[in-house]
Amino acid sequence: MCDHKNYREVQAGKDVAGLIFSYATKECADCGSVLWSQKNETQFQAWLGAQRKEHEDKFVVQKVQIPSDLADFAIELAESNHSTTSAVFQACLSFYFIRGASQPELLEVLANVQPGAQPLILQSKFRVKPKLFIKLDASAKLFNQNMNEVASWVIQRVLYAARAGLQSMRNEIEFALAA
Amino acid sequence: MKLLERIRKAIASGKVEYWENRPQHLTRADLDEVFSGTPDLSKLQMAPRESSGGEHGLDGEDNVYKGVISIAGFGGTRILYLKFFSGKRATRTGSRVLKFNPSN
Repeated sequence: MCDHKNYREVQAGKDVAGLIFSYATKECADCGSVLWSQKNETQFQAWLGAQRKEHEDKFVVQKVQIPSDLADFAIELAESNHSTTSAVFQACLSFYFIRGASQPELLEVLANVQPGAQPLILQSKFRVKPKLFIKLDASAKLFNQNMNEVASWVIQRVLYAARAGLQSMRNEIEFALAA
Repeated sequence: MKLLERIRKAIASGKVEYWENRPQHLTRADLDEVFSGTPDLSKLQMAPRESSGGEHGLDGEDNVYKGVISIAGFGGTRILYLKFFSGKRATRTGSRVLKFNPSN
């Protein structure tokens, strides 16, 4: 196994939604690996935060499918909170990827939810925060799925659980919409 | 401390030496996603560490953990191969990931 002892300083690039994050790092001359250090991670998060203002239109989720009954529930949530269904979908994703990351038991509850087989309807595209986009992208690649499939899976389950009153999820979504 | 908690702590500490772009090596973001869930680590085995290179090469644990892990999510299950050792024998903080690939 390569120990990466023979490395050189390089400028590398990471593609995020067609935008390139450029960073200084080490590249192993023997195996071609590139080091992703904590410094790179910190710089990357700062860069990602700046992209939200400059390139908001790049961080978009498209073709999310949810059953018609859950779409109706999303509309109800949006109207009762003076918000939009796009904001409801983003709140569902934030809830899963941000709060869920610190509560594995919550993710298990959602994994066991069966949203049912109502006819699926296609939602128009909506914007997400860059950090959420990264998590969706990583999950999709990890599980060999498309980003819209992962987003659909999450939104369906969070909406279903919120409607069923599980884990105070409705309150969590409404809190996110009010923020 | 359980192994899963230890790995999560190491990842959260940011003191993870992670090399990307190796053939089939998954990214650091993938590592974060896997350990933000609850992967099945029951098939990981402990073995003597052979390498002394890299960060934590000298102060890291004497053993590596290696083997197949699995993670369920989004209606599927992904089988992966992980090989790593913890940095700093005393505190077991930090980590050097030697392999993190899709399992064949």
